[in-house]
Amino acid sequence: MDAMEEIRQTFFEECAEQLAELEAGLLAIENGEADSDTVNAVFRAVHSIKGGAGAFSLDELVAFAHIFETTLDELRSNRLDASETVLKVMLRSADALADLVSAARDGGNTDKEKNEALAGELRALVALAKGEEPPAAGAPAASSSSVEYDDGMGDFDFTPVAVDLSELMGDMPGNRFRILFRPHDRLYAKANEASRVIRDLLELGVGTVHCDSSEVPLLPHLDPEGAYLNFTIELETEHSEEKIREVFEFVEFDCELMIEPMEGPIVRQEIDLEGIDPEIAALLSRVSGGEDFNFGSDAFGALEGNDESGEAEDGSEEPNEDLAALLKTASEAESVSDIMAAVAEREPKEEASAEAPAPKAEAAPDKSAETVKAPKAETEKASASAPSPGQTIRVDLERVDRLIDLVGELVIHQVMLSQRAYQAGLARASEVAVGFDELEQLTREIQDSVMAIRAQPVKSVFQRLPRLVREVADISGKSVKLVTEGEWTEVDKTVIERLADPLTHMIRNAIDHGLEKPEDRLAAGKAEEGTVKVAAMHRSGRIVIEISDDGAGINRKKVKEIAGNKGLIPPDANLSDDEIDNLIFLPGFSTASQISQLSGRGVGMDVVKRSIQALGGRVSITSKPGKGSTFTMSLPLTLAVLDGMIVSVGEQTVVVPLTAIIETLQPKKDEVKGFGGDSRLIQVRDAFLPLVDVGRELGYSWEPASATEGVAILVEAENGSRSALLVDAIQGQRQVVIKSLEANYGRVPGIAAATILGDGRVALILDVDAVVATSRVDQSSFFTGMQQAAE
Amino acid sequence: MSEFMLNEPITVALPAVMDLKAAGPLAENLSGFRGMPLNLDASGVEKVGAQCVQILMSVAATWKDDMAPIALVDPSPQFRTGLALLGLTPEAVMEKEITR
Repeated sequence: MDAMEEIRQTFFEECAEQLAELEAGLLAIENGEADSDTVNAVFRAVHSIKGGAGAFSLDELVAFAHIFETTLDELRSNRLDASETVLKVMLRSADALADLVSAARDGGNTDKEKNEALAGELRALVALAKGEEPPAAGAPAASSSSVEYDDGMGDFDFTPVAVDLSELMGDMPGNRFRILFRPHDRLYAKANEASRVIRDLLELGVGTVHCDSSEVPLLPHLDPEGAYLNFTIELETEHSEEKIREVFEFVEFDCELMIEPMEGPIVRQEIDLEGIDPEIAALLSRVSGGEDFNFGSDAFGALEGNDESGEAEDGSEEPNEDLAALLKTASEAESVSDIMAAVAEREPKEEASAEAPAPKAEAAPDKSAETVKAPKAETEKASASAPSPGQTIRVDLERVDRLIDLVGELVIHQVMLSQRAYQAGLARASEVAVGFDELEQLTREIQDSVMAIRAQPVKSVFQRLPRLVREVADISGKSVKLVTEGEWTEVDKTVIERLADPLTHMIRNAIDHGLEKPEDRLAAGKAEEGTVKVAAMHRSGRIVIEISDDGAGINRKKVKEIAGNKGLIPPDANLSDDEIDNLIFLPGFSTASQISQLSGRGVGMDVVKRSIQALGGRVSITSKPGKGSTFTMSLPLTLAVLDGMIVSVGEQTVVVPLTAIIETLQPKKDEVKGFGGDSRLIQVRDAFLPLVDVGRELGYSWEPASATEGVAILVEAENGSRSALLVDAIQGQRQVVIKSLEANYGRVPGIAAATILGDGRVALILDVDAVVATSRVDQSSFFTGMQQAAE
Repeated sequence: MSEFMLNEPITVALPAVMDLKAAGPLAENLSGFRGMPLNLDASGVEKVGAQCVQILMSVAATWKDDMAPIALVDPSPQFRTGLALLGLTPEAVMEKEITR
C-alpha cells in the first residue's frame, strides 16, 4: 500500500470514529443528557471529517459537511434551540454524512437529491438561527456546487485577502500572543496542512506570520515529506489562549507548540497586492480606505458566513455588517462588475448607517451584547475544562490476532511442560513446582491482558442501531423508540464484529413483525410509539443481549398452524408455549404472508440462529401475548480461551465449560430414578433433574452408563433450567485454548469447539445446552439433526 | 545537450496542486534539472502547501550553491496568497541560502 493510500485509510478509520461520536452526541442531546462538551464534540466530529475530506478533494462530502458544521455551530452558540425538529434534521444529516463517507471510501453513489434537500433544511435552520428568511427551495444557495468549502489550501483565490477592520473600527481590543508552531512530518503525513492551521489561527484576530526556514537542507539531503519550516505567529485577538489552543486540537500531538502572551503592538504584515485582480484590489482599497491589507478575523468570518463578526458590542457593528455583506457578495459574485455594482449600491447606505446607528441597534433587540456574549463565554469555559484525550495507538488487528495465537500456544506449552514434569516425578512441594505455578499465573495474566486489547464495548454495534431503527421505522410506517442498555459491556472484537448482522436482523424483525401498526396499537390501548429495547449484560461469564419489543407477542396459534402446514411439525403435535415460540427458528419458517422489503426473502430466524450458534452462542425467545417478545442471545466473551472442567467420557476426554457448571456430585443409587424409556432423573436435594448420559448423547457408547459409578455435573442452561450431566470421571480444571472445530473440521451437534490438551491430544468442548436439548429428543431425530448439520 | 541549451534557462511549470501528494514527485523532477539554469513557472499554481514550499526553498538554495541561475516566474495570485499564509513571498523563497 502506498503512503497516500495508508493516509486515506487512516482518514476513513478516523471518519468512522468521528461518525460514531457524532451520532452518540446527537442522541445524548436528544435525550437531554448533553452538556456543552457534547455539543463541542459533535461539532468537532463534523469539522474533522470536513478537514480530512478537503485534503482528499472529496468535494461532495466537504460541501455537505460544511453546511452541517455551520448549523452545528449555531447550535453550539445557543443561537439555535436543540428542539426535536432540529435534532431530527441533525440525525438525518449524520446518516447522510455517513453515507457520503461510505461512498467516498467505497466509490459508491449517494442520493444527491436527498442530500441536497437535507442541505436545504440545514440552511433553513441556519437562517432561522440568524433570524433571516429561509432560503427558497431551488435558490442558488441550494446547489451543492455553490456551497463554500475549504480544504485548507484551496480557496485562496479570494479568501486570504483579508481586510484589517481596525482601519474602519479603530483598534480591536484584545490580547496579544506569540505562537511558536513547529509542525512535525507526521502532521503532514496525516493530511493536515500547516497553512490551514495558520489560517484558522488568523481567523481569530489580526496577526503576522514569520517563517523560519533555517532547517531546510540542500536538495540531496531533503526528505520531500519531511518538516523543516517553523512558524512564529504574532496574533492580536479578543479570544483567550484556550481558543487558540483549540485551533491546534487536531494536530497537538503532531507539532511543537508554544503560546506566550506578548506586550506591545504587532507590526502588521502587508500582502503584496501585485498579481491579484486589479479590480478586486481596487474594490478592497475603496472599502478599507486604501490602507494596509492584513490578516483579520472578521473578513474571514464574513466570507465564510461565520457569525462571529456579529459579536461587536456597539454601533460599530454596522460598518462591520455592511462590510461582511459586501465581502460575501464579492465572494459569491460571478464577475468583478457584479462586485462593483454591489459597492455602488452600498455606498449611500454606509453613510446613512454611520449617521444613525442607534435606531438600527434597537431594531434588533434580540441580538443584544449580553445574549450574544453569554453562550460564547460558556463555550470557552467548557472547552477550557475539557479533558485531554487519552493516548491511543492504532494497531493492525492481524498483529493482535497473531499475538493472541502465540499466547494461546504459550498456554498450551506451559500446561504440557508442567504436566510432563509432574509425570516425571516432580514433587508438588518442590521449588520447581512453585515456579510452574507462578509461570501459570503469569501466563494467565498475559493472556488476560492480550484479551483485554481485543475487548471492546458493544457500544460500537449499538451505535449503529438508532439509524437502523429510524430507517426501518420509516419504511414500515411505524413509530419506534429505541432504548439501549449496557452499551459499555465489553466483549471480544471478533464477537462484536459477528454480532452486528444477527442483531440487525433481529431488530428489523422486532419492528417489522413484533410491533403493531400505530392504529392497532392505539386500538389495543397502547402508546402509538412502540419501544424496542436492546440490552447487553455479562451473565455467568458470557455476554447476554436481549432484544425486546412491546408489540403483540407471538401469535402461537398462527405459528403452529404454519409449522403444521409446512410439514415442520406433525399436525397433531402437542407443544408447550415455549416450544411453539421456538418454531420460528426452524429453517423454512416465515410468518410474513407478504414478503416485505425489511425482513427479506427467506432470510428467517433460522439464519440468525445459525450465525449465533457459529459464534458458540445460543438464542432463545420468550413471548407474552399482547405484551411483546424478548429474544435473548447469549454469546461467549471471547472466542479464544475457556475455563473448563476436564472430564472422562468413555475413552475420551471432554471439556465442560466451567461457566455452565453449578456443582458436581457422586450419585447414590437411591437418588437416581427411571422416567419412561431410558430416561433417568436424579434427585438433588428437593428437586428431580434430568440425568443426561453424555457418553450416549455423543455416541461414545450405546449402553447407558452406570450412574453410581460416574460423576454427575449439575449444569444450568441459558434459560435457567437445570440438568445433570453424567460423565465417568473428573480429571481436573484448567483454562483451554479454543480451536474452532467448524473451521478445522465441521460442525458437530453437541460440540462447541475443540482444544489441545497438555499431552497433545485433541479434546472436544461440550455444548452443554445442545447436549441437554438433544437428550430430550428421541434418538432418531437426533440423528436426523446430525444429518442435516452434515449437509 | 548543447552549450546553447545549457545557457538557456529551462522553464519548468509547477503543478497546479502543490500538496503532500505532489511533494515527492516535485523534488524528484527538479533534482533532474540540477546544475541547469531554471525558471520555475508558478502561473498555474492553484494550491500550495508547506511541504512543496520547503522543496522550492531547498531547490533555490541548492541552485545557488551550484552557482546555477534560478528564478520563480509569473507567480499566480493563489501561489502568492498561499505563501503569504506561511509568512513568505516568492522573493523570500528564492532568496533562500544555506550557509555552511
